[in-house]
Amino acid sequence: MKAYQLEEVKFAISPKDSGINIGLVWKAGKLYLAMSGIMISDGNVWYEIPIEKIRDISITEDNPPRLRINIPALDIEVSGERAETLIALRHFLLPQLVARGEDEELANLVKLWGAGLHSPLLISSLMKTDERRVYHLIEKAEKEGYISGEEITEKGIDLLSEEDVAFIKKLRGEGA
Amino acid sequence: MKEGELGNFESFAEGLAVLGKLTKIDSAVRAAVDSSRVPPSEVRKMLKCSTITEISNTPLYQFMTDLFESVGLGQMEIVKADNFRYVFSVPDNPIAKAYRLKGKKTCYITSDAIEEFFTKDLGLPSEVNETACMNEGAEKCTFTVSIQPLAVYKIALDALDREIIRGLRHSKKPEEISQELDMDIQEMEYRLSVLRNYKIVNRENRVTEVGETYYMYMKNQVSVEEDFPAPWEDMQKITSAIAASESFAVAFESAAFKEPMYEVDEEKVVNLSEEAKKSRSFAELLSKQINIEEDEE
Repeated sequence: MKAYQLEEVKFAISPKDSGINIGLVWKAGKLYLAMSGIMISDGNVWYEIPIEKIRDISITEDNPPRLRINIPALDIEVSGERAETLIALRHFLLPQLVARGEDEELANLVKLWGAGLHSPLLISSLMKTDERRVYHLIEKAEKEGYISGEEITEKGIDLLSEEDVAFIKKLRGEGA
Repeated sequence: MKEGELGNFESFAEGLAVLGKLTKIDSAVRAAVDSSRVPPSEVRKMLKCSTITEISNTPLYQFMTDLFESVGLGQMEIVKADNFRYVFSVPDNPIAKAYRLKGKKTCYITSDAIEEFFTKDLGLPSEVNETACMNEGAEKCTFTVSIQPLAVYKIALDALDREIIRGLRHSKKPEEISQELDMDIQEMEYRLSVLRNYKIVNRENRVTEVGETYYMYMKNQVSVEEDFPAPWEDMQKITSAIAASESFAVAFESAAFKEPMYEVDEEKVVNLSEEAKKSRSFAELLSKQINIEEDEE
């Protein structure tokens, strides 16, 4: 795998909505662009942020600029001296984000589908979203192969955490 | 390139070239915005225009379109305007053409540049969205600017307008107010038409609820309007700032094709998305990372 170095940065990885102040674990490293997305290395480990998993990418501070990359379950913050590089990287990646919000909704739908809930009305109530939106998500989940009939597919299972999969199996009496 | 990889560029080098182009434009936009503050008196001239033709003839509009073209964002033109909203289009948009993505909006850099200019240089906090994109099949890219109404009122209306509102609140007739302010009746009529347009007063020259809110808010504000030369009076300064800002971006652009790529040892790669999915908690994820590092040592 090849990568092109963009900038020397400091970075921090934090769980989304965890309430943990990750400011504690800023590391120095380098930011790279690779074919598959963004990579950050601290010299030992290469952290890969696949482009198809990025939900959002925003500038949270101006001086020094700080870029926040949001993937399911994690926020990655990157701070660098050259604002232009980070801002341009954001502009470069934004049109390419396929996940932007919808993958989390799809994962929630698949989770409920796997738990045996198939009523759009009930799903819309549980997901606190419009019923028409649920119809759209079901159609998309079928089209993209996350669900098939009343079952979730292997591809659908890949959207879920191990904890969710274990929960669904338990619910269906298949054992953890 | 495969699906899930950098958006439909024919090669990694082409992707890097687009990133280089965006870096150059972002550098130029930053420099342009930093040196293009517009005095409120000029912003007011544009805000008070009621037709596209009037807006197109203001010095501010001409400056803005020249500025955006000079930083590489294409030829912008206004297509619609109302009190708190402007719609601009960019035919043959160079940003849209840089991407190979189809079926998606791509021109975030233009939206952000317009938003920065309106918010920082015009003093009009705004939100800008690309509402049509050539990459989605539109004939031209279109950007809608939604401006905070209070910011528009604060700049478009001046102390004399507030005196008129004060008089109307005390049930005075426009003629009476114009005498008190030593203002000819034509100017009074013009100012009343602007106040009506902004829904500050109604057709019967009564102050509306919006007008009351504005008046009460502004009554407690002590503000002295800043006056300074318009940026178009010294275009050389802006041009130099843009040129200087672009030098590093140009270096990036040319280096992108010359510098060797880093060969990443795939055994050392942690796919954050996969790890987050597998881990029950972030503590677990962190401990995995620490273990990797300890194993290295």
